Parts: sequence; C-alpha cells; structure tokens
Amino acid sequence: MADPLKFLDELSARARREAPPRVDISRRVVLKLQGEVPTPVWPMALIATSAAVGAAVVVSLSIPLIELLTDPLSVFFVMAVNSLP
Amino acid sequence: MKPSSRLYAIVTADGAWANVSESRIDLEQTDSEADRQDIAGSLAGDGEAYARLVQRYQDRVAAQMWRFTRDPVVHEQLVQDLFVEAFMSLKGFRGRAPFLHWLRRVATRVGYRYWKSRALDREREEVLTEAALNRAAVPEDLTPSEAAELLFRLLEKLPPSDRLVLTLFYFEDCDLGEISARAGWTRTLVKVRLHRARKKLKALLDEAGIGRA
Repeated sequence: MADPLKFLDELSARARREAPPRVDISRRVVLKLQGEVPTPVWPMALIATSAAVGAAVVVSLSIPLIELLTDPLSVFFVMAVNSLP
Repeated sequence: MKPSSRLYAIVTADGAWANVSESRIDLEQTDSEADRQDIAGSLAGDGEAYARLVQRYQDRVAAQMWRFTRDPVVHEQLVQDLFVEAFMSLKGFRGRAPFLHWLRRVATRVGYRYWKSRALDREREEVLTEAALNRAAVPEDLTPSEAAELLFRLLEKLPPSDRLVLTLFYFEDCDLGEISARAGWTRTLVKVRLHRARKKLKALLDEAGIGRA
C-alpha cells in the first residue's frame, strides 16, 4: 500500500464496523441524579429554630438576674427595705 | 417505537422504498414526540421520564463514547457522566435540532474533557502501539475490533484537539459541518485542524513504516 492516508481510509472503514460494547446505565444515572439532589433541610432547620428560640428565652430571663447581681446599689436597697419598721 | 419494530416495518413493507422512508419518518416523529414529553417530564423532576430518555439513546451515544476509551469500565463511566451532564444542561436544550444531535455534542464535550484531564501513560501506549503496528500488514487482515484498536492507538499519540478532529473524521465518518457542530468549532477552524492533524498522522505512519509500498 503506497499511501498512508489510503491505508487510514481503509483502516477506519474497517474500524467503523466494530460492534461497540452495549451499556445499560439508565437506573444508575437516575440514582446518581437523585443522590445529587440536595436533601431536605427541614430536620436541621427545625433543630436550629428550636435552639434559637430556647436561647432567646434563656437570655431574656437571665438579663434581669444579671442586672440585679451586678448592680452595686442593690445591696443598699435590700438593707433599706429590711430596716424599715 | 422500539428498534425491533423499526426493523419489522422495513422488512415487511411490500417492496416499496416509500413505505420504508415513511416508516422512518414516522419513527423519527414518534421519537421526537416521545422525547419532548420525556424532556418536559425530566425538567419537572420525573426520574422515570429521564430513565426512558437514557434507555432510548444510551446505545447510540455509547457507540460514540467508545471512540474516547477502549476500557469498558471507563467507557461505562463516561456514558454515565454524559447523561448526568446532559441532565444538568437539559434546560439549555431548545428543541431546534433532534435530541440525539444535542446529546452527541454533550458526548463530544465529555469525551474531549476526559482526554485532556487524563494523565498519559506513555509507556503503556508505546507497548500497545508497537504490538498493534507489528500486526498491521494490511487492514483487510485485521478484524474490525483490531482495526479500531490500532486506529485508536495511533490517534492517541496526537494532542487532544488533533485527536478529536481525526476521531470524528475517521471513526465517526463526520463531514466538516458535523465535526463543527459536535466539537463547537467553526468550520474554518475544523478545516485547518483537520489538515494539520492529517499531516501529523501521515508523518506518524511514515515513521512507523505503515502504508509504504
């Protein structure tokens, strides 16, 4: 065979007759796509919201107590109240 | 309509080519109508609709992906990647051309990206190419599978862009327009790349002593 390009034409014509392997991947594709869809965030969102509400209640209740404990004049007010007849 | 029905229609048509053509046209219309419904279903989140699309086209695009690897495991993975990528891009399908044409473009993109990202195992390629070349006296002596293996190994020696244009030209028997559509390159660029790539391949064959008198 004198011409490499002619050789290629004949080689490719023969190569095109090859039966390629068959695949059946439809289930795997769907499963993979379902795996890539983000999972629902409801459970995490519910826990986070509950924690935030709980924290807000604790803070709102503890603020008056902290103010009472940290107020230097509160001792005098208590003593004054106790010393009243 | 399944491929077996298509064959049945052609075989049982009473000797009239028109009947065969009509059955083909009907088939394409049926496919495109089924495609339209399944694409709409897929976009609405119906997994079964997309499974039907995959089943309808997996063999045709698997044949194309076989040009990008000779490893059955990698091949199956590439076909899977292609359909996952196609799903992700499905919103971009405008329906102006048949769904298969669009899928072939996605397949070319996935295969080309695989070539570019793959670390080349040169030593293995050399051994395989030598072995294949030693057996390649004349193409007629090779089985189709051996011929495909040899062509694949020859093209594997070229850079990805040359390899792609020649793979589409020789393996897929595409003309300039089809290569341009599948690769996303202009016709002029395809023409230039094809010319240069064929020259490189010819030099490679000359060097290996193939095709000489």
